[in-house]
Amino acid sequence: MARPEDAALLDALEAQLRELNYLQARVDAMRSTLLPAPASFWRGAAGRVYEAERSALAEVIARGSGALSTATSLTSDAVERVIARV
Amino acid sequence: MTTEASLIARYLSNLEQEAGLQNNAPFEAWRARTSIAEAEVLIADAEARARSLHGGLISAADGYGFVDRFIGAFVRSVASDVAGVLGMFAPLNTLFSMPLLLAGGAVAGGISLIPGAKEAASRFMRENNELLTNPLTVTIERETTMVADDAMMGAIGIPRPVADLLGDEGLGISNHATAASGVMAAGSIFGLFRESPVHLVGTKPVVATPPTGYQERLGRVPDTDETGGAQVVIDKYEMEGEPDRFEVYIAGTVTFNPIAADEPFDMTTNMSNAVGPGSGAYESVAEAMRLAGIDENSPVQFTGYSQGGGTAAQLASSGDYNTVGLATFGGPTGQVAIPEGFTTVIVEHTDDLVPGLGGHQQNLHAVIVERDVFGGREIPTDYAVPAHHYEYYEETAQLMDAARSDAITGSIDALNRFGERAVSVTSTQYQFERD
Repeated sequence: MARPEDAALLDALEAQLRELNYLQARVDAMRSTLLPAPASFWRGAAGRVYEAERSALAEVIARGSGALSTATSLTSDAVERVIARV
Repeated sequence: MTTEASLIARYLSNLEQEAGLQNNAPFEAWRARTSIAEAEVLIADAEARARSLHGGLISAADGYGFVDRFIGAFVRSVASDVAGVLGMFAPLNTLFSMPLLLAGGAVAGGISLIPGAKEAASRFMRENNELLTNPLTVTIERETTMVADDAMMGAIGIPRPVADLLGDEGLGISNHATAASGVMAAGSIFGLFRESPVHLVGTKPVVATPPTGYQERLGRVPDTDETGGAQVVIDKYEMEGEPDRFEVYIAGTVTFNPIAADEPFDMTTNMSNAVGPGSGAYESVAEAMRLAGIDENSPVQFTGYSQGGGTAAQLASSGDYNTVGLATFGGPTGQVAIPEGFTTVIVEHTDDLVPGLGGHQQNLHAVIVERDVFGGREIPTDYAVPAHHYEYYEETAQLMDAARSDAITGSIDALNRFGERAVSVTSTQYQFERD
């Protein structure tokens, strides 16, 4: 017999998991459009600055997506743990 | 997309507030909350970086224009000062340089007399054309063209402040046209660059259809070797219920002899075009247009290559015609004040000396297509100035036809629309000679 507080927690975690999956899809879709394409028309210092900024942005997006993925995975684990408790 | 990133970050912030707050939540739920907070910060950071990069791109585009204008103005100012000072010493320079000039003339004259020497000199120029086929050389040439009047004013003793006041950066009374006038006046003493009236030698009807792309348009410009000497082609489009329309195609320089002979598409026209309307080629085309039935109300489009581009720009800008479109390939058009209000496409190779002879390109309202033809590839030794050669402008026109740029496609669409409703096309070649 599930405790009422575990049932409420399970509902909250499952809702969180759905939302995280939804956000992960949005972040993945956004990644290709937020990041400008490599460009050959910048030369010299301007080219180096552009590429450095572009690489930094790509890294931040990847880390953000990674953090979201970890949150999704941990939430999924939390759901399983609560279910096991029931 | 920065809005989307911002929305996601806000969504995560709300989620973070709700997640893992219950005391009975497992450890994973608490750790998930930390990861959500981290994701929120990183996505907000990505949004800020993307916004900054986007702003930077716009600023850089503006900045390029600003830096280009700033450096241009600075270089012009310094160059005209130097030219003025050098010009002040011109009589002295002439005194010292006269023997060198005479020696050079003697060598040149000697070369022309020695059998095979002219060909050897020509071969040397072709095989050592790297310096002439260089964007830096063209930039220096543009600057030199712009300050030629300063040197000339210095040479005749006009004080520097007065020269500044009269020059391009002041009242604009003196400019590169003044210098070209001076060269023509000085040259005429020795029989060079003497303008003359022109007359029609003959006309020939030919079969033609309206061009549908940049390459076809350039291809309609007459090659006098193929047209038997005709330098102008005019296509007359008969329209249903509208006045006739005309496409005018103008050839480039036919002879480089500085002494005006029969051919009006010569070096004298090149110098005259720098002064303004009225060159032998200009008068030839104007007469061909009159003969074709073109008046001040007839819609006209001009296309020219090399000198023909400069002549086309002069005619289109004269105010004497109802100009609807203009396309120039490798023409010295920089200081021709082409009016706004009609489609203008200016194609210039940055390693081609000929457009550089026109000075700075001031027609920034036009669609200006630039290409460094031999950047990153070997310069062929077939010609002394290969980047000006027709086949490379044809190559550029091909690239323009394949381009997806709105400016390039929009311009060719506008030029094409001119003749698309023509019910018949009559094409005529015109050949002129100097009197």
